[in-house]
Amino acid sequence: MAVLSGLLLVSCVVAVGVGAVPIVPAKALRILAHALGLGERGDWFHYEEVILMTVRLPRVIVAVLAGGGLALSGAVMQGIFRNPMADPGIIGVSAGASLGSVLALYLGWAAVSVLWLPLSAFAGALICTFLVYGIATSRGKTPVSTLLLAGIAVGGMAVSLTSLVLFFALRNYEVGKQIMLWLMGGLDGRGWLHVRLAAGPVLMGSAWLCLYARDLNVMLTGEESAMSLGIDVPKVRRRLLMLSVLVTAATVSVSGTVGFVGLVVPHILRLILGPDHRRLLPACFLGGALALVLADLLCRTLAQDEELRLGVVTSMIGGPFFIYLLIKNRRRTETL
Amino acid sequence: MSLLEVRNLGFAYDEREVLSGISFSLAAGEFLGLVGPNGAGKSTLLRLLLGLISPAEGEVVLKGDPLSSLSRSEIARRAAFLPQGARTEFAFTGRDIVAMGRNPWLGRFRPEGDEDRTLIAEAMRETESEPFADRFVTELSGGERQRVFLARSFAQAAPVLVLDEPNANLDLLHAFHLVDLVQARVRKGSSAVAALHDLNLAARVCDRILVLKEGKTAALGRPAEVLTPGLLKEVFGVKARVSTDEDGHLLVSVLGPAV
Amino acid sequence: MERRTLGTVLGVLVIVGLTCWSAGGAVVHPPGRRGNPWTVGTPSVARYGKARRIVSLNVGTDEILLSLVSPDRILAVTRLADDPTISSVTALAKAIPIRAVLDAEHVLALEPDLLIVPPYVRREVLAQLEEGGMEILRMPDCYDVDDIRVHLRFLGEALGEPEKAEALVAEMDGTLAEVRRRTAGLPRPRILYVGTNGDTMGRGTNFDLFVEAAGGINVASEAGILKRGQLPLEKGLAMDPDILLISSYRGGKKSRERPELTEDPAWRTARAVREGRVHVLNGAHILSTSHHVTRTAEDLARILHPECYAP
Repeated sequence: MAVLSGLLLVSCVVAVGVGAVPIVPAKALRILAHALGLGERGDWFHYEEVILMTVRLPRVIVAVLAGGGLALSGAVMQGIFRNPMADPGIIGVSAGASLGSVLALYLGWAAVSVLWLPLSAFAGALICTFLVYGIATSRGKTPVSTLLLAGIAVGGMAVSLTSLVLFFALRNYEVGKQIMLWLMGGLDGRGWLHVRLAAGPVLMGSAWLCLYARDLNVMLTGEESAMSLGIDVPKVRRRLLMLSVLVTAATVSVSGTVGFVGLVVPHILRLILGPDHRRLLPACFLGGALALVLADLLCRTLAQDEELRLGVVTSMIGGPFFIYLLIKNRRRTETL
Repeated sequence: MSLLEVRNLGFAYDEREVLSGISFSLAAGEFLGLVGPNGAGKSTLLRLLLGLISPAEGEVVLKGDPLSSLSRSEIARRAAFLPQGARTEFAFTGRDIVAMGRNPWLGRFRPEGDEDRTLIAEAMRETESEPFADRFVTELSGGERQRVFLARSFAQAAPVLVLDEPNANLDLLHAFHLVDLVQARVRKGSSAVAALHDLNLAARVCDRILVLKEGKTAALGRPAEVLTPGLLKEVFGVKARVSTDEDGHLLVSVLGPAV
Repeated sequence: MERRTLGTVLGVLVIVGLTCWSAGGAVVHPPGRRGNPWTVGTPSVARYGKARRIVSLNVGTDEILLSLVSPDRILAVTRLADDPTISSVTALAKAIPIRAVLDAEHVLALEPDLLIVPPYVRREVLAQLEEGGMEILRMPDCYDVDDIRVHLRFLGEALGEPEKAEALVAEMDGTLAEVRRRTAGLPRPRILYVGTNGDTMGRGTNFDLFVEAAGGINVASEAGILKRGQLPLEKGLAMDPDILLISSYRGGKKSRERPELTEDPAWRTARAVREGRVHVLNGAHILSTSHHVTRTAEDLARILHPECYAP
C-alpha cells in the first residue's frame, strides 16, 4: 500500500512536468510548494507556472480521481456480482453517460459552458441506471441476473442511440470530431472545473464504499451465507450499487469512456493482495489512480502532434493483459 | 425454555403450497434431524427458521422472540447456518472464513478483540481445521472446506445451529466426522437442526427426527419410534427393514421400491 | 436511499456554487450573425491597439491580420497559413517566425498579449486559457461577405487600424465591382460546383453571389439548393451544366487518393466533361473568411468569360 502511494506521488509529479513545455520534477515541486504557500518564488518563467497550475495539475488530479474511482467501483462491482469479470459500466453507466454527453455536444449545450458536457454525461449515466434498476425490480426484489440482463439491454439501446446521434452530428465536422474524441476517452482540456465536479462524488462515494469492506468479504461466500451472518444483503447490495454508479458516473463524465481500468486493476491487485476488501478497496483506488496517470502520460508523450486517446491506450494495454490473465487462469473454470 | 419454537409454519411459492402446519420445539442440548424425500420442503423449512424467507402463516420464535421482531444481526447472533456445499471462488484463507463468523457481533466497524480471537481459535480447534488456517479454501477438499465453514458457524457463538445437508458430497469418513463434531457441540449446550439424507446417520446422532412428506409433518419423535418400515414405505415409497445391531444402533436397510 | 439523494442534491448545489468562480483573463465576442453582443466592458475603440504579441489561431484571421497590422505586431499564425491550397497569404506569412497550435500549453508558453481564436474552439480550452490570464478575442461564425465586412471593421477598430480596415473593405467591394463591369451584358454560361463529397453551393452562398457577379448562372441554385447541400449525381447530370468546377482543396493527405471527377464513369458522360470544360476552383479563395474571398469572383470571371481577361 505504501509502495502504491509512493509510486502514485512520484508519477504525479513527473506527469505534471511533462508536456510541450517540459518542467523538471524538481522545479515542478518548487512551483507547487510556492502555489501552496510553502515556498518562495523562484527562478522559473511565469508561463511555466501558469501552464503547471492551469493546464497540467488539474489534468493529473482528474486522472487520479477518475482512475481511482473506476478501479474502486470495479472492485465493488466484482464483489457484488461475485464475478471477477465484472466491470464498472456493467449496468449501463458508461452507455448512459456516452448518450448524455453526445446529446450535449450535438445539441450545442456543451458550447454554452464547460459545465454542461460533464453534467449531461452524469445525468445520462444516472437516468440509464435508474431505468435498468426499475426494469429489473419487481415486488421490491431485484434478482442479480435480471439486473445484468437489463443492463445489457438498456446499455445496448443507449449505445445505438449514441451512434444515431453521432451519425447526424457528423454533418458538422467539428461537432462530430468532438463527439468521437469524447467517446474514445481523454483528459485533454480537463481543468479545475472538472476537478471540482468529480472530486465530490468520487471522494465521498469512494470513502463510503470502503466502509463496506467487511460486508463485501462476507458476501463473497454466498448470498444466504452472508444473510445468515447478519448482513441485509439486498439492502447492502442496493447501497453499494448506487454508490458505485455515482462514482463511475462522475468519473466517466469527466474522462469520457475509458475501458479496462475498472476491470484489470482490481483483478491484478486481488491476485497480489488477496480478496480481503479491507485492503483491496483502498489499494484499488491508489492503483487505478496510478494506472490512469501513467496512461495519460503515455497519451501525451507517445504521439508527436496529436494526443493519443486515453481509452485507446487503456484498451491497448489492458486488453492484452486481461487476455494474459484469462489464459493463466483458464483451468479453474467450467468447460464447454 | 426451548431455544427454538415453530408454530404452525406454512409457506407457499407461486400459490403452490410448499409447507403447512409445521410445529415443533427445540430445547438446549437437542439435535433434531430433518428427513424426507426430495422436494418435501426441508430446505424451505430451514430457511424459514433463519428468517431468510418469510412464512405465509405461523411463526418462528428464537430464544423467546418471534423472528419478525428481530434484526438480521440479532437473528445471526442466535442462529448460525451451514448452507449446503458452502464455498467461495475467492482465495480467502481458512482463518479469514472463520473470522467472518464474528460478523454479527462486530458489525461493520469494530475491530477484532481478544474475545473474538479466542472464539475463532476455539472454533478451529473444535472442528480440527487449524491446519487450514493459512491455506486458501479454494484449494481444500470438500470435507476440509466443510469443516472450515462449520468452524465459522461455531465462531458465531449462536446457540442454535442450522445445517442444510452438511454431508452432501462428502466421503464416508468426512460425513461421519462432520456430524460428530456437531453432536459434540450440541452436547455442550447448543442445539442443532440438520437436514440429512442418510437415515442411519440421522438415527445415530439425532435425539429426535422430524419426517416431512409433501410439506407436512409425517412423524416427529425419537428415531426408533419414527423410522419404521411402515413410515418408510409411506413417505419414501421404499421397502425397508429396520433392525438393531450389536451395539444397539438402529439400522435401516433399503431393500427396493415398495410395490 | 433518502440519505443518498440528499447527498446528491447537496453535491450538485456545491458544484453549481463552486463553478461560479472564475479567474483572470477575459473573452470578448464581437458582434456577428448569431448576434453575440460585446460581453466584456464597453466597446472601447482600439481596445487592443497596443497589442504587440498577437497570436492568431485561425487561418481566416491570419489573412486579415497580415494585411491589417504590421508584421512585427504578430507573434504567431497558424500552420495552415503556409498551405497554398487554403491560404492566400503564404508569402506574407513568411515574415512571421512562429506557428501556433490550438493547444493550451503551446499558447500559454508563447505569452501572447492578445489571442484571436476561431468560433469552433472547444469550451474547455477556452476556459483554460482564460484561467491562465489570456486576453482572448473569439471570432464568431462567418457565413457571407457581409459578415466579413463586419469582422474587418471590428478588427480594424480593435487593433487600432480603422483606416486600413476600410481600405480592405473597399478592396473587396472594388474587386466585385470590377468583375461586374467586365462581364456586364455578356451571355451567361451555366456553371456547377461539385465538391469532394458530392456537395455543392446553392442559393445564398458566397459562391452563388460571385457566380452572379462574374456573369454566370449557378446551376445549384437553379436546382433549388439552399446554402451548402447535397446534389444527387443524377440530378447534376440531368441539369447539364456548361462548365463544371471542382475544389482544389484536398483536405489533407488522404483525399489525394480520391479519383478525379473526370475519371468518374458517370460524370464522363456529361457534356462539360466531354467538351473539356472542367476547371479547378481555387480553394484558398472560396474557403477564405477574409477579404481574399472576393478574389473568387475574379477566378470565376476568368473561367466564365476568359475573353474579358485576354492579355
